[in-house]
Amino acid sequence: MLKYFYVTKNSLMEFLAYRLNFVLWRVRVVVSILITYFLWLAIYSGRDRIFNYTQGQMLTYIILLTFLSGVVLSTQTSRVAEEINSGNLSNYLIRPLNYLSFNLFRDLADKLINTFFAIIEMALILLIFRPHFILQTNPLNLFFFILSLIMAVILYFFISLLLSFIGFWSREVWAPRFIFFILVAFLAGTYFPLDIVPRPIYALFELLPFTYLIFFPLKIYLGNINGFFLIKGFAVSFFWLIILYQLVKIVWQKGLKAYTAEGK
Amino acid sequence: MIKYFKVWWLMTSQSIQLFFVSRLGAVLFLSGKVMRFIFFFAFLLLLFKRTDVLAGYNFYEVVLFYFTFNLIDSTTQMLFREVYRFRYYIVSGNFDMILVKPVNALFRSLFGWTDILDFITLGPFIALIIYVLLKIPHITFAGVFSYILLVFNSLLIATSFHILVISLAVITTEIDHAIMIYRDVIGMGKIPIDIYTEPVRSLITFVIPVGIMMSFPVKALLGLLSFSTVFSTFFASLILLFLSINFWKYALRKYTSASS
Repeated sequence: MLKYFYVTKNSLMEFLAYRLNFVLWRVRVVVSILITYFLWLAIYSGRDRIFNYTQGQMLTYIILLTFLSGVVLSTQTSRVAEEINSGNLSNYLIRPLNYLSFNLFRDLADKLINTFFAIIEMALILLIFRPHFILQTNPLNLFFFILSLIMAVILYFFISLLLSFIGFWSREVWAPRFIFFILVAFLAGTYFPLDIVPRPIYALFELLPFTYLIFFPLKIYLGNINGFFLIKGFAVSFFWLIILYQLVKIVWQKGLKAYTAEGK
Repeated sequence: MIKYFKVWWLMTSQSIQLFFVSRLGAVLFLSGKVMRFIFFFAFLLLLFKRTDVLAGYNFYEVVLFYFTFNLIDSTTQMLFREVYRFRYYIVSGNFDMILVKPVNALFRSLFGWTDILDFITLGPFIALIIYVLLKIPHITFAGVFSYILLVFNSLLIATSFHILVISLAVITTEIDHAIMIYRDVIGMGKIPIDIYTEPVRSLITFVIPVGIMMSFPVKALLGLLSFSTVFSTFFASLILLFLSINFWKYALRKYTSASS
């Protein structure tokens, strides 16, 4: 277990080695949140409620996106594809460690640093712009929010890992990831809450795993949800977790058989 | 001038050949770009289901802002895709190879790679803009003329920003996030900048001229800009270009040829 602790520690140090890069990356995160924040602020000017969301709910949703994106969408698993394509995967296969656990702990560093700075940035946004921010105090809501967040983290880890496994069969790993980023940005609810779309489209979204990465946890945080929404949401998330876990196992095994350590 | 056109054509034909080498990747990237365009358009459609006007603009006017943004953004990316690869030249020391060649290093660094995928999207964007123009009443010839001029002016501003970014890369080796910050910020111009409240609106008009780049062409088209504003816009762009070229020259003096 100690070796995995060092994986996280080393990854954290990697982040801090390129400080300007790191600072600009955080600036980028704040800028993109502020853009969405001001856009929605402008849309709400003179209106109390749009798409069944009050201004406070919508701005809380946007601000919390910083935190959730940091926890859920930050990952190092894209490096898996590079390691496969360059043949560097061999270096990990001969070491006394589980490569999937290694990736989980490498991701942990990413998530720790993202979460830490996201909290600071969120606090700054709240202090400077003083928006109407909804602080959820219901322990049940907070419990289900954290539970959905944990499930979202694992879901994203599996999906991103599967995308990287494409590297076993193709060198074309960035194009599928590019499409994936665009799909996630829209279908996970980083543009807007997904339930503002027409009902039949939302019903389709509810069946996809992306909905449970950002929208579902945030919706739980905001409250005003019923038991059916919770049960259905957790059931679909759990279904996708099982499916994706099995897929990761199968594709990893098949991928290893196809792996030729090309480049080494 | 002809020599530079020939060099550009040579580099462009190489990038087109590479497009045919990884066809699947190219198709996927193109699909991604189309998806991104459609998703935001869907968002605008959703918004206009609940409201008739946004910051005083009707649906066709707002989509004209969005299509114009895409036209300028795609043209910029088509021309300056090399900027995204520039860091590699600096950190590997291969920038030396660019410096010793008898072609202006700034020209080579900016135009070394023409993105054919973005070129493919330009035709549909122009067609969409023409379609929307036909839906908006009272469009004048002078308006269209100002629009075209201001779109070129936007490309001039975009050029300046790209020069600033690669200059920063020469000094700091950082480029990836800097160019993405630029892209995120200009993304604010997908919709009319009038939608933003002060001080954001002034900030994105005068400090980071997103408004001048993305909103001014459409505003001129709709007859909402005075001649003096259009004129001063060109003046401001030329000053920015002058400053960016000087910053590039300063950055070159700081280049240490590390790793070479």
